[in-house]
Amino acid sequence: MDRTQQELKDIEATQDLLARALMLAGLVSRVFREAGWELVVVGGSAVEFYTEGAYMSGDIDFCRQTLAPIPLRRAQDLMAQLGATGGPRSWKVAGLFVDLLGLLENESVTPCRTIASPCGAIKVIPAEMAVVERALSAFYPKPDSEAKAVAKKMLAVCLSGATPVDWNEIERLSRLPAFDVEKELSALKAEVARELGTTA
Amino acid sequence: MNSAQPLKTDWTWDEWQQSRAARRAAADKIGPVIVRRKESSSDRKLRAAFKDERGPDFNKG
Repeated sequence: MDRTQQELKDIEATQDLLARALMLAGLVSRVFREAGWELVVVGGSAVEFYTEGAYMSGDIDFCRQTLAPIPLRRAQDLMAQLGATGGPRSWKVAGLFVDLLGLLENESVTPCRTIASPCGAIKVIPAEMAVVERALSAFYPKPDSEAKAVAKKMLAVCLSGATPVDWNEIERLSRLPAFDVEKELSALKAEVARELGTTA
Repeated sequence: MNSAQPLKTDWTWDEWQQSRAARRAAADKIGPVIVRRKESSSDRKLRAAFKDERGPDFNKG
C-alpha cells in the first residue's frame, strides 16, 4: 500500500471530526501542491479550524492561491488519486466533501496560517480575514443571529490569545470599503470581551 | 495581541493539537458549544450524505 492510500485509511479511521478534516485538508493540499497549485482553506472551514470545530460541517472549502487555473480534467485526475467521487469542483472523499471554489480573494497583509498535518501542510486564510468576513456576515445583508454567534466565537478565540491575530490589521480590514464594518466589529468585540471578562 | 512578539503563523501538528483545548475553552465561553449553519448552498449534497444533517456526528477527541 502506497503512502497516500495508507493516509486515506488513517483519515477514514480518525473519529475526531476536526482532526479528520485537517488531515484530509493536508492530503488534498499536498496532492495539488505537488502538481503545482497551492490551495488555501477559506470561509466556514477556516473558522472551523480556528474555533476548534465550533462550526463544523461536512465540507472543506478551498480556494487556489496560484494564479494559473486548474484544468478540470487535471483536478479530476488528482482527486482520483484519493479515491474521490463526484467533481469537477466538489468531491466526496474519506467521508467528507472537498469543494474547490476558485481563485483566492485575500485583502489581508498578514500571512496565511499553516498547519503541518501528518498528511501535508495546510494553508488557512489569515485569521484577520476570517474575523472581518464573519463580522460582515453577522450584520449584512441583514443582522443574522446564527452568523453573529459564529463571529463571536471567532472573536473569543482571538481575544483569548488561543488564535493569535494582529488587531491593527483587523481594524484596517474592517475599514476597507470591501467590508466597511468597523463600527459593528468594534461593538461586537467589546461585547465578547465583556462576556469573557477581558478587555477589548 | 499587538505586542512586540511576532505573530505566530505556523504550527506543527503537535503544537496544533496541544493548543486545541485553549481554543475550545474560549469558543465554548461564548454561546452554544456548537454552531452549525442551518442551511447553505451545499445543503442538498450534505444532507443527502449525512442523514439529513449538514455534517457527520460530532465526536471530538
